[in-house]
Amino acid sequence: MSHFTEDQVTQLAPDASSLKSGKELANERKWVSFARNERVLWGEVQGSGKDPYRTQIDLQHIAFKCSCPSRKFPCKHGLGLLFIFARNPDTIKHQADEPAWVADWMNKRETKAEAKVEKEISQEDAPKKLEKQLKDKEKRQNERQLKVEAGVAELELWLRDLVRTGFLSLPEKGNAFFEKTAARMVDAQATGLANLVRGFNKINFYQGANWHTEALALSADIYLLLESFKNLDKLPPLWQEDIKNRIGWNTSQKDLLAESNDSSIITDTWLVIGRQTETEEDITIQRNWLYGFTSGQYALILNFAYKNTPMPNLLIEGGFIEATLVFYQSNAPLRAIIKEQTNSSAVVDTVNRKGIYTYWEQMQEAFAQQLAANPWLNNVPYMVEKLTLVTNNSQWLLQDTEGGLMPLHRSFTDKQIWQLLALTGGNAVDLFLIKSDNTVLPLGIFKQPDHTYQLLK
Amino acid sequence: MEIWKQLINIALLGTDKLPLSTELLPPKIQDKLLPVNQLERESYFMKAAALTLAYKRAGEQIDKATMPAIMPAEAELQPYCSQKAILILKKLLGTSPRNMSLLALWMEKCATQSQIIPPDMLVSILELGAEKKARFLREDIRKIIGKRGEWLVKITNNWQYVLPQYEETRWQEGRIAERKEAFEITRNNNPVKAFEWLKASWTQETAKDKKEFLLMLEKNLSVAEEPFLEDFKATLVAEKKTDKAINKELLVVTNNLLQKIEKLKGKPVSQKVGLLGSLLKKIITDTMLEEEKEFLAEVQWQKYEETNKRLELMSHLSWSAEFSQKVLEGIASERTNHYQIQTCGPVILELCRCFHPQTVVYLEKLLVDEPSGWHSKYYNEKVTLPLWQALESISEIENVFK
Repeated sequence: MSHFTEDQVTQLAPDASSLKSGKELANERKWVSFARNERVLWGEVQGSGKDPYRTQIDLQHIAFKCSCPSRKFPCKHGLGLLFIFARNPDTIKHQADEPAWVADWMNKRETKAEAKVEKEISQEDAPKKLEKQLKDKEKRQNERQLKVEAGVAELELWLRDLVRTGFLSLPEKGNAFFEKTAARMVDAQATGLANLVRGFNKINFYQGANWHTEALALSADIYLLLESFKNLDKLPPLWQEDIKNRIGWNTSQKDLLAESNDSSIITDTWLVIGRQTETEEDITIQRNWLYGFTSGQYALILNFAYKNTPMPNLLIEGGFIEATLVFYQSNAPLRAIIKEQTNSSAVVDTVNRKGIYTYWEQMQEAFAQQLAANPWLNNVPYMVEKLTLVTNNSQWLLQDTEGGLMPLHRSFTDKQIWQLLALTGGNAVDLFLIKSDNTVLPLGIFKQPDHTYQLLK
Repeated sequence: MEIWKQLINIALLGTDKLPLSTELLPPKIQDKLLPVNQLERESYFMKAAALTLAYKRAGEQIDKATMPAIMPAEAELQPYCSQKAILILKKLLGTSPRNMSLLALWMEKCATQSQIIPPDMLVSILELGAEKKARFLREDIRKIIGKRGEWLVKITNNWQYVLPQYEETRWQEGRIAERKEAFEITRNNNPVKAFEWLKASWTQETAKDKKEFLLMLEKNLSVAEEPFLEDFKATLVAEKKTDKAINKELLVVTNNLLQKIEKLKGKPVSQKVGLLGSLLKKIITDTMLEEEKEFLAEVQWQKYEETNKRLELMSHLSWSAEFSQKVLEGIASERTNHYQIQTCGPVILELCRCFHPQTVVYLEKLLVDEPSGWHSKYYNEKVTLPLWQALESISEIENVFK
């Protein structure tokens, strides 16, 4: 059985032209040879050079390697080979012994992973070196603390000015006004504050009066954060973590792995319930939403890519993974990184009922509790069962079985609404969704008895 | 929430002009604000706003109403097409530019097998049919969307072209551009019906529109339409208005149609050629590269004169190894004429090599004879030609709907 569907392979393509070429190469006749076993899939394909290119795919960790000169990642050969596998895995013969070039690569990959662990241990063996590192780190942190404090003071002054003179002049301020303050916050090493300030530039000032609420809510969120930061020492440790994260402190993945304790590590069968991708300037941010079936825990995996560099980990939207996640320290843990991905062909046996609700009111209650733990929380994933689409004055709403109504997020397009209608045929379905302000963004339909998932793209 | 509106008003005007009156706030928030200095207006206001925002967010009420539930779609009576067929459909939809002839073939096959597309494909297919260049697919789209598709059209008020009376309504009530489109589509799908429409409205059409409708009548022209055309010609002549430019043109067009009908009389009605007939011809001409067309026009190696005949042979290529051998022999015998080989070679080469493993052996022999020749280039780079892809898709579609 293949772990992949054709749609999933499509998602891995770095751009449209690679996808097109990849599909053209998804033809067994174009390949000199190919084979696979449990851990790896490999093949040889005739390119423009004299020798055929050697393409290999680590099936367990979804990694590609190819001897072709292409700088695209994965290249068309990798995509083509994976397409063949996705379409008709039976055409690829199973072969336990790997050719030398495949075994070399795979073994190297495995030793690398082991070496990483060993390196961490060997550092512990050198306490003096470690001590110096810690000292340097502390010094850097103190410097930063001062910088951020100055930034916070500056932003507070700026915000007070806005409030004193009134928001009526906001629409005329222009992007540059907010961008300037955002840049000041970047200088102060408070990128989180910078992003919040940029939020003013995302408000649509020219459509109704909704911007009044948006601008006040954004200002209140910023103000609360500034105040909390000023009182940081008086707050419990997890609150401190949340506040610092929001201000712009990034826990490096290395530190996170080192500091993680049992309570922040969860091994589970995760479903990638949806993905949101946005590009800001040259950076592409990918938000992957996951749900763990045994733990009932939701997770947010953020990936960043600069310009055309590939996304670091290749999660497949709508796919299941067996993985160990490490969560960032938080009062309402959500953001996580993947520590280890063991297998990509998971079968869900049991479903924890945590994080799954039957009525909108239950979801709202859960949200209120999470809000008490983290007042800046927005965009939270849930599953709500037995929802039907209803229409009111040509606006589509999701209705629960008690008549509770929930509007759809504005980014949910007409085409997606039609798709949801087509898939449900007017019947009630269980949806994974993101609650955002007072609306929801459906991500996909979960079918309970057979545990299949249909994304709403 | 009343208090939030108050806060917005203050925020809009500025705390300088409109200070916050504490007693407006909910008692719990008032308590929290007790230690805050009211004279520092901005911080006092922002703290009140932050607290109220959390209060508001946590206490958000779910709207309730008994909205009329939509009547769910009826159960399907026809079977869904196979998963393999869907994969091909997705491939056809995913290629750019889309090959409408291949999509038409897919849909026609699906419809003739009385199969329907699964729900997740409905929106893409209905959206496709809404495109102007896909309007000739509408007749088949209507047949393959099943009960779920009809329900979706009704619920969303979209894709009205699926409704059975759509074209007729456009013809009867539409503006001239819509009427022409409705006529063109119907003339394609149901020529007799289109002719009946035109006959009924003929006297009310302007001379200019008449000319355009006559031009569209050429498609699927039938001998049964002769009396109508003869009558019209007679009227034109009798009214002696042919000195007017437009009437002169009308006469020319009508005469042209009458001549075509004469020709039709001499020929048997069935013009189906080859396995896929005219459709294959269209697909091939749609997808052929210039050099491939040249090849069909110029190549002399076979005795088949008519393009249709040749196409028939080419369509057999994917099934008959014997024929591909013949073609290759043809190339071999023509090898002295280098130019010709260059133009015709790639097409045949791709066709044969891709469909018949044993012909590769033959090719390899050719390569040994002439290793630096044109064919080694194609052989090594495995160039994919659109024609080859199209032919492969045809056989794929044929197979999944067998």
